Amino acid sequence: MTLFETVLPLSMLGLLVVILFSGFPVAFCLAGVGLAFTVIGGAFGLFQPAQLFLVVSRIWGSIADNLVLVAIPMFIFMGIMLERSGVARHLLEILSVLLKRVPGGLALAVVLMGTIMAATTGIVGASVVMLTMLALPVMVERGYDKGISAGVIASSGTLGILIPPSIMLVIMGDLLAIPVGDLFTGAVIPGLLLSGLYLVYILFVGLFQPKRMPRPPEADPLPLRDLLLLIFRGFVPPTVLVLLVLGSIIGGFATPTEAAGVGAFGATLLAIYNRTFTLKLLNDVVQATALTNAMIFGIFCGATLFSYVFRELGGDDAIIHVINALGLHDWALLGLLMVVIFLLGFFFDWLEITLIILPVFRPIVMELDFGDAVPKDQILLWFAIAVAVNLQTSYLTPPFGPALFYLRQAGSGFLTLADIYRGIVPFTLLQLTGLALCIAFPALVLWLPTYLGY
Amino acid sequence: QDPKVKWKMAATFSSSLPQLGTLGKRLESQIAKVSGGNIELRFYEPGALVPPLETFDAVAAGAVDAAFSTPGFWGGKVPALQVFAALPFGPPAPEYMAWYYFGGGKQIFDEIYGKYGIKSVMCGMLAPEGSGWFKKEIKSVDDLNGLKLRFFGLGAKALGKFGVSAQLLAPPDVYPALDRGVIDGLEFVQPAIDLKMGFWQIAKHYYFPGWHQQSTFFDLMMNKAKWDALSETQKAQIESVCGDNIRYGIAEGEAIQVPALKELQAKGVQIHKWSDADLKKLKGAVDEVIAEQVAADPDFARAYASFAKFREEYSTWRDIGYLKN
Amino acid sequence: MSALLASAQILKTIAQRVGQAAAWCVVVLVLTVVLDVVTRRFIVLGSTKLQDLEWHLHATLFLLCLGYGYVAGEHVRIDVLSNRFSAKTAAAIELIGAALFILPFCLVVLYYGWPFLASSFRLNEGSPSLTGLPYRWIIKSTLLIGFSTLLLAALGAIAASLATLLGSPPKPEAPHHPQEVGL
Ligand code: NA
Ligand code: NA
Repeated sequence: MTLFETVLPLSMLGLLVVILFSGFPVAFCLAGVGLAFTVIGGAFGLFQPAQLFLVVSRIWGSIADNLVLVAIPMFIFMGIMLERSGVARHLLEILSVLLKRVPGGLALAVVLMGTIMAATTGIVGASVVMLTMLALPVMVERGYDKGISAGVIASSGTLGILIPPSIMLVIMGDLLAIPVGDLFTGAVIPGLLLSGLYLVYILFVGLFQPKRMPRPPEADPLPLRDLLLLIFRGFVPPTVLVLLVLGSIIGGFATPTEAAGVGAFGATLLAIYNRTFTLKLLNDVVQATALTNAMIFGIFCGATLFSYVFRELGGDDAIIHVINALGLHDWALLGLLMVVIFLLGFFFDWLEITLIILPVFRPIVMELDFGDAVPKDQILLWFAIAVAVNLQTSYLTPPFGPALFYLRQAGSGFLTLADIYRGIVPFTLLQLTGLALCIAFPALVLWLPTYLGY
Repeated sequence: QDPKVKWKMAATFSSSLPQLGTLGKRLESQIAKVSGGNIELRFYEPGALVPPLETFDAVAAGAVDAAFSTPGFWGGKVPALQVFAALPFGPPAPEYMAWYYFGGGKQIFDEIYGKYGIKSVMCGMLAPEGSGWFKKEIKSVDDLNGLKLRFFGLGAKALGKFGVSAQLLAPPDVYPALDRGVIDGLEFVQPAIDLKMGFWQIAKHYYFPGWHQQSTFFDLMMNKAKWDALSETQKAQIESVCGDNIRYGIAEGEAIQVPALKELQAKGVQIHKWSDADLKKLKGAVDEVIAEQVAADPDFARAYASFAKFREEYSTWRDIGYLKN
Repeated sequence: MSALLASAQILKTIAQRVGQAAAWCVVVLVLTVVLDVVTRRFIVLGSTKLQDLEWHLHATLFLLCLGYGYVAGEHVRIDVLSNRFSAKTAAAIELIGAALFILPFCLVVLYYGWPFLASSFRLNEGSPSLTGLPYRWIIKSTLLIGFSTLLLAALGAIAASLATLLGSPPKPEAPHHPQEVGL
């Protein structure tokens, strides 16, 4: 590989950073930088105009013709409907009454909600938007530190791609030839571990820096009758909804993707029950859903173009070349791969990162020697889950951090990007802690699949 | 010395999957060796350049140079190509190849692909498939009524005649859907591959024979203009390596199933066979479906007529030439 | 100047109206899913067709709203630096971005999308699963319609930014996040 061939694709990343900070929409910065490099690549004979046809193929084949992504608008609809119809507010009011003695009670509730949502969908955009809609206004109103609010929502919403079911694990299963069931069960404990780390961190902050997450003012204790009424109004309807969504999956009526539709439908019924449903409300929800959804899919369209051009200009080869040039083995190679994946997460989504790394390193990783730490036949599974945990960070790390974008847009009026950047630092560190634990203690990954006898 | 060929080859199956992907990887390495490095066919994972189902258009447009897939993948675009991949109750490999190479199949194949600017060379062969994984034992085809199965293609159409409801489902939903009973079963590939996919973890009844898909051809699609620009030597090198890939695919496919079946059985999977009476009913449904396809699409009709005529005549040789166990 | 502003308004309005109508696809989508889930256990309605319809509705929803999203200022921006830019600087960035990023993007998709659509029409392409929906060209046409509306929205932004740069006072509502989502 010549120096030029290595530098050209990597310079795409540099230009992207500069362009993104112009403040022009992210989706179109990605597309524009990608297209600019097709021209540069063309000048050096590395790109032919006919290859641009694949921009259409990719937007159509992986974004439009895709039954998983259908869950996104339905979950967004559900979140906005719950929020606009006042159902969410009742829920959070009652939660904060119930949790008022617990430091950081609202933030804890967000982590729990994010974990539950993660079990019903693998779609980060949907979870982040929904959690933002439901929780952010109340958190800000209660005087929660904006950084913490942003970090907890973004990281809890991102759990969906790790905790099964998850499209990421399915694609990794394909690329690595590991049964999906192994990956699904292997990801459960690491997913809950991350969720647990978030909870512990929040409790910690709540205890030692209570100003960042103030408890609700000590109001006169509610008479029991009022409290029960509040619980009935605020707690029962959304609980019924959660049971409906989870129940439709567990009962074998709906797939996790379809459960999003069940939830959206149920949220509408709740609004009707709540007597806040009007045609105007419906129109508001529909328009807000369409706009948020268009924002998410605009990013998908731009990102697929950008990643494609990066690959055509030899970006994957440049990365693999750099890794191989270091000539590392075993633990050192594993560590290097984790660092590379983490760094790639600043610019790419999980799909492109797995496509760059997994096919090339599958045969190499299978032959690595980790002594007694990991049985030979489970190395690949353990490695896959470590990669999956690592990829959690890709949603949070700027400049290309999808969870940040969703949060920024759904929470506009409450948060600035600066708040968000500040807020995600501790949570990214927690994710890396989770990764380190999964690597140091392989049993966290391997125990459950082994126990279930797969 | 011929000019060097450096092509990108998009795959529609991951390189890690036995046969579906490994045959494509083998093509990549063999062509490099046979051509002394003159021809490079670089294997790209599905979706790395182009999403699997968009590959046909991409090759036709010259946006990728080549693709490794099966003609049956394009049933929604060019129904006739299904005749060249695998037909329900279709022939075993020798008979299929006899028709394709000597019974007029290849001419029709070239003509059909040629219409879309594609040159294709048959480049692999898979062993027969299993006919599905079921949560519950299916005593006879009558038990299929009302079942929800993830099933595609001509087989799905035939099963529809027994009251089966075919489901698409998003890929991450398949596992939980089968686990929780949203679907009752699914079609996958063959023991060696299904072992890797892990559906034995939640469905324990595995049915044979794969009536919906016996031997399956894989092919190397190439942009026709690019193929035409190759030298005779280069064309021969590609055709030879592909021919060898078919030989390899058949041999490997037959060899790897038994160890996989043993492993599946050790994991508690029950292997079932459809009864002759059931197969006869399924055959009846398949005949109806094929008749519908023949009526709907002239190219399908032409390709199928050629195949059926060959099969009819060949049956004499099949009956007298081969021992019946 | 007023011609610029007027044409900007017309272009943006077209993109907006298309998006506002397409937004209702989400309601049909939810109803389709619920119909499939509720009936699947009892009758064979043709789940493959319904499931094909789900992503058809969703493709229509997001493609036809791309331009609408741009007009409404909903496409997320990294605005940590750009908050501090003057109105003229912001207009210049909008002009350059719309002309150099969005226009070529739309033109590429439209130029290569046309043969993509035409081939589907010529083949009378249907669902590869055979039991799904026929006439793929209908849904594929939403790709071209969607990127056309994005193109119109970009042209509208170019005209509006030009007007600002040429001295017309910037419109009171900034294009960024006019809609307050969350309350
Ligand atoms: Na999930
Ligand atoms: Na990132």
